[in-house]
Amino acid sequence: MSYLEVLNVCKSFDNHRVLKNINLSIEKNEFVTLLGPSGCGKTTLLRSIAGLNSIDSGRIFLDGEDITYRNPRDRNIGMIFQAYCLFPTMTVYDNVAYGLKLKKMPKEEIRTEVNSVLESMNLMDKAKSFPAHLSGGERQRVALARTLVMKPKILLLDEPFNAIDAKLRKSLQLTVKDIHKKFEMTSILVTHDQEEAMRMSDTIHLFSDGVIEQSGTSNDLYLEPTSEYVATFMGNYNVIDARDFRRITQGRYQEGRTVALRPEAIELEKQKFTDAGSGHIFEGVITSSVPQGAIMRFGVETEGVELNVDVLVDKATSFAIGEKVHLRILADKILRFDS
Amino acid sequence: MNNKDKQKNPAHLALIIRTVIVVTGILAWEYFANYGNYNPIFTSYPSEIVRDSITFATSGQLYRHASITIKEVFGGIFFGSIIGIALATFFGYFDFAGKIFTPIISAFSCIPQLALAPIYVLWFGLGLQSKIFLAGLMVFFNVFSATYGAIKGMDKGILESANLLGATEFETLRTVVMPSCMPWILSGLRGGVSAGLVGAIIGEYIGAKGGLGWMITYSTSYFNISRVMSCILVLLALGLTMNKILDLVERRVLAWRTVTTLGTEKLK
Repeated sequence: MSYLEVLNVCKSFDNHRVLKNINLSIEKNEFVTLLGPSGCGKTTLLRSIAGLNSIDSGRIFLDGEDITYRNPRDRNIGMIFQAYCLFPTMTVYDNVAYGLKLKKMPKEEIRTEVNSVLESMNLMDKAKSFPAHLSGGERQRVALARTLVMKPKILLLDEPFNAIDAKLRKSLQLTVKDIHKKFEMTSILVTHDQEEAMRMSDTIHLFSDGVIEQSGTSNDLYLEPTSEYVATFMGNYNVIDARDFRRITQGRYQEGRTVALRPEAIELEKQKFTDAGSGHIFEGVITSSVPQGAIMRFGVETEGVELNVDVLVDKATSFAIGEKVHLRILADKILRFDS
Repeated sequence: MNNKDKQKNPAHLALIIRTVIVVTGILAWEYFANYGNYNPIFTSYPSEIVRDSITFATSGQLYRHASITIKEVFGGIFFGSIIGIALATFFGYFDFAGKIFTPIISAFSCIPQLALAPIYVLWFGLGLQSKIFLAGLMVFFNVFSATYGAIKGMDKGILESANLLGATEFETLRTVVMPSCMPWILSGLRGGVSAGLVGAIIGEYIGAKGGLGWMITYSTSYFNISRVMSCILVLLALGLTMNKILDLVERRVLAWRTVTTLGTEKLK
């Protein structure tokens, strides 16, 4: 049995099935992400693991124990909420010490434990501050400290980076990842941000309407999506009706109902390709360009179909909007979906 | 001028302006009552009120009547706030009971309690109980609605956090819910203090054996306006003292709150 086992879990709200027979196994020290759009059931599953939601059927095992009907306070699970949910009336020190005080731990021991975790989170100088006087990043570190001091069996993170600006978000993501390693945690992150999931996770479970659509490493989901939904969610794929793609390739490509092409898998050149290789070559006209950091995303129109093509930014300067270009896609980069 | 001085100045200025307005008003009152062309029998005047207050205090009457009113007001605040907080907490936790009883309590609070004051005097007699009941009821409606609103508005995530950290429902109530609701409870109490004073005084108007309200009606019937004004001064002092106590409690209990103003910073 894995460290955390979720077996056949179902949950409905007002006759709407939010979780449809979910099965999930998570190993100790693994960093797992539940990824998906809003309303797909990922937060409901997280809350069910924490015991904050009851489930209609199924079982949840943690560290070999059945915790399905156990009160949240007896599960030894730590959770970081989207809004951090610090106690506004308590100082940072008292927030972190709260759980230990409830355990009736001796005062001296509490002080040692709290100071040690505040030290590791660089929060010692904020110990006497109230949450209202802290920045977003500091509040999140307090929430983490408050949870970690309890030495939980598993750490649940419910979209904790949503309310933070892009630069700080990346640094906090690294902090969480470091903490995960340093404290040898088992962590589950809920997010709708595919880049965040890919940056942080050992395993990603992609949700769609109450079911897990695909599970695997970030590379598995990005390079080998098993459905059109996964392709669209994970990689900004160009998902094209097979009939359109047949027209682009002048009838040479005959398979599937839809095809998916990764933007960076399509080659873009000013000169005509001399060799199609194992794939297809075709022409198009650049209609748009959007800078995306190190890459430039071009919109290219070919046979009435708009394709996104990613090019490294230093090469991109040579292309202009309205310019006629040549494109090549190798056969092994074409993903085919039949249903 | 350093920043601290700049911050202090508006407060000092406000205090000076306030004092000037009050002193000017008192002096004008004294002047027009003595040298103007209206009869001061209806208003008395400051020097006469001071003289009467001294007589009122030295005769032992002030202590006797003020202590009755203070007992009624404090009794009302004590019972009204304890029952208000307890019921609001109960209905906050037991949602179904809240749905049944809260509209009934809201409907009751719409009835002007002063209109029912004669009935309370009939029920509980001319003694302290009828005034404590009336003052308590008026405090209760203020404190109950403020506390119930605060509990219903609590962030569910905070309660869940406490639960995940090992708190029972009672521990969550004691350590998280009540402290978080304090701004609203104190605001309800502040309204309750004024309501309690009104309740006690009106109760005494309607039927009592003593108290500042009773003294006001008694003195009015003999056109002793100076005594009426002396009683009002004592009530003013009582109200201000209770508000000051609440200020001190607020400063101590609500240190965690950020205080904001609606104004925006002026750009130079």
